[in-house]
Amino acid sequence: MEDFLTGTALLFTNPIGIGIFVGGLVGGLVFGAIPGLNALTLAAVLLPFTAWIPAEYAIMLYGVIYVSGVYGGAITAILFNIPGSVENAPTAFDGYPMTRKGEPSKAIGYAVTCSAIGGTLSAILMMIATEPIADFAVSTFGPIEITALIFFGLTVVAGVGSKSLAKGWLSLGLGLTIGVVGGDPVGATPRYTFGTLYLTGGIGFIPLILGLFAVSEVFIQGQRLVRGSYEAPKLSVSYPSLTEFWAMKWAVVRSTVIGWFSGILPGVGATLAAFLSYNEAVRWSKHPERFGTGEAEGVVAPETANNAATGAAMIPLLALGLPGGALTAMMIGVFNLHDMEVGPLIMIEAPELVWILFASMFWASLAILVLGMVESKGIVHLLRIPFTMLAPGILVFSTIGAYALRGNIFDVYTMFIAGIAGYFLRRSDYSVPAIVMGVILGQIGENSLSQALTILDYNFWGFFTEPVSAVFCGVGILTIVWGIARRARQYFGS
Amino acid sequence: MKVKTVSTYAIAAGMGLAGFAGIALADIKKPGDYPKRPITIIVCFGKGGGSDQAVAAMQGPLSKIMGVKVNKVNKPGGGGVNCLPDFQQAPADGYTILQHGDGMASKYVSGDMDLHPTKDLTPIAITNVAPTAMFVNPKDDRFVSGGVASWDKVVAYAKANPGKLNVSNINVAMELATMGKVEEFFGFTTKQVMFDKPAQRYGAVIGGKLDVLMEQPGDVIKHVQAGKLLPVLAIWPDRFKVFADTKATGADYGLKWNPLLRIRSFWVKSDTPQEIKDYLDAVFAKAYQGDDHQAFLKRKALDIVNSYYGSKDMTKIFDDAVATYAKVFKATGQRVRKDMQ
Repeated sequence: MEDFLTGTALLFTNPIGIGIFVGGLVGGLVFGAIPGLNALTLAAVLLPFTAWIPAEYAIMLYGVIYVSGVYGGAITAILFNIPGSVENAPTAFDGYPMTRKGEPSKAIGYAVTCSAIGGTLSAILMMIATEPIADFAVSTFGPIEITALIFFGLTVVAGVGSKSLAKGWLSLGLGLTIGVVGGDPVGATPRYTFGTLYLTGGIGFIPLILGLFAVSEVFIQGQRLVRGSYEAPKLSVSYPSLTEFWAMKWAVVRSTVIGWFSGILPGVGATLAAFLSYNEAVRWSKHPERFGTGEAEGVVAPETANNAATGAAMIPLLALGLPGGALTAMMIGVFNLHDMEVGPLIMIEAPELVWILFASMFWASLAILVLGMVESKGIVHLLRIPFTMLAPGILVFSTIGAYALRGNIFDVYTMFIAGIAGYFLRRSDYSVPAIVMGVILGQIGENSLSQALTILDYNFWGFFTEPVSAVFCGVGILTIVWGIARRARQYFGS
Repeated sequence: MKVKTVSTYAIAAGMGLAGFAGIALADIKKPGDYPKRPITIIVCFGKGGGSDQAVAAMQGPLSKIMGVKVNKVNKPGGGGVNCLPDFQQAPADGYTILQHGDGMASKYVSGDMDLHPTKDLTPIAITNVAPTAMFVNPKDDRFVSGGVASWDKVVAYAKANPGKLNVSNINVAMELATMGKVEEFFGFTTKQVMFDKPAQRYGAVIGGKLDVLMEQPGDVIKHVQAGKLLPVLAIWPDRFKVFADTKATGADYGLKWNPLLRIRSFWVKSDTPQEIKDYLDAVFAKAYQGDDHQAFLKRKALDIVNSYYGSKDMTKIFDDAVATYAKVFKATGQRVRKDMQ
């Protein structure tokens, strides 16, 4: 506690510290909300300049940007179906349908509160037990266990966002297929590239989700406008009530644990946290069929988990020097710029620096709550803009987002092709969320699978002889069987 | 098979820093208005690893000299091949620089990619040259007793359990060929598990999931200092000063072999204007000399061999490396691209 108070005092007793804290908070929120840009863009731009500010404030700045950036991406996902970052993509699955149902403020309210809860609990965990948890994570989760974890996550995906189980599985299969386009992660063997250079590099994920979500939505609403069936989202500024929040308590607890868990795995981080957490919300729900149609828990789960992963990601970084993602890797650069190395010694060599980071992430999570509550009352008024003006804006915004990422015009083509495909797939009741989850989980899983199979001498039975892996595989298989049985019962029962 | 190229250059290098020590900022002539916007360096390996660290250490000095921001974009995968399409699609204007290494020669020879490292690309500078070592988990009592790691115990275990010793590695020919040489010399076989993300590669051994890590000393020195990894073998003629208690393949086991070296270097497209190439050659040399970068090299034990070569020397080194990898691959029955068979 004394260390935490010292960190807090260092943070708030110096005007420069306060300025950097507020700047990082607002910067992360703004950059996180702009598709194509994200908190990483801001962090990269600022990196060289951190050499000129004191080490403790430089590190603190990155912690704050991380926390606020992960939340910032939820806003555009909810209002316009444009996820600001990959880890906000599952938030759009139900957040945007909530907006269409006239509950944008409620969705943002859930997102902001749950981001704050997830982030705060994660910061507390980080303060209590950085080193033992990091040791547990790396000694328990190797390639075999991570592969099993991904399999476990994939087993529930088919049930998300589609009324037909078969179409759900086909959507997942399409996502997994898109995910393997390009050079394979081990030997770079080209798959489905048709000899083109662009496909050899793999299909960009950001253009893909911009197309599947934002562009296809413009087409769908545009068609409704032409046919005279378009209904503007109803505007409300009602914040979720305490009773409604209380009903989400288990979702928050479960998602916080998943967020922690994913965050502490080196090289995994907030993206897996958000997707897995969404999947588990579906798995544990009494009404899984409601997901994808505006279920509040579909916003609560990913937003709690992706922020819970932020503090947890600091654990392997600080305790072991192993970055969980891009932003934590940049933090190594910040440490190096100040002639320090992350790892267990940092807790001994520079405790004040570590504690100002912990304190800043804790306070940034709470600050999001205040800023977000204000924002949820105001930003929803963007929906008052008529669709005929909003649609071109979304298309321009998405096009810039797709292009800005790496300055490649093919990313823009990919976005529009994905948008057209998304339009037809959604009209035919295929599941866009399942496609997106197939792509992201498939890419993470393929790497782990190739490593796991090498370790297991290509013996798949080996996944059932390792205890942790066996549990994930076993529950995953039960989920598939249960899903089929449930659908069969519905079919024969009717 | 004697492998001379890269290692011979580095081991025997007398060029040192003297060749470019006199470059002053004022001597570097800007080609027109280049650069007038940020420069992007595509890094073909994961965040937090040696390549990433090498680029991060150059970013600040390069930015300071050129007066524009220098961005870093990591694109790991395929043993350093999956990044190349992004680079190939960028214009040849000097605003996109490729960071890669010795893998550019070996992957070209094997046919895994078609970019010739000196014909399709123009070498700009080598900024890291490092030998390789093996590391184990300090808690692994099969190989460690009394805080000392024993390579002899690793060898004994590997011989008693053929093909069962798991090595955490990366799919680049330098590491694979080096591991092959170690296996051949000590008479055992291993199972190599390939990782593109350094955090996972190191974490697999730190967490006890795999047995041995093959890596360059500087990349993991912080984990060694923190007591999370222990060096167990230097693949080098002599013991490293930084790990003086760790046995070396040459001095302690009598392996007569010029070891392959990890080279980290920078390229632009060959059709980039010549004045931009010359400018970058001078800028990289200047950035390398800076105090910050020199401190980085020392901190990362990258002073075991000379670590800097400019455009001209780098071209020679990579031409030689292509020829040598072709010879080695043919001799060892590995895949060689059709036009070199």
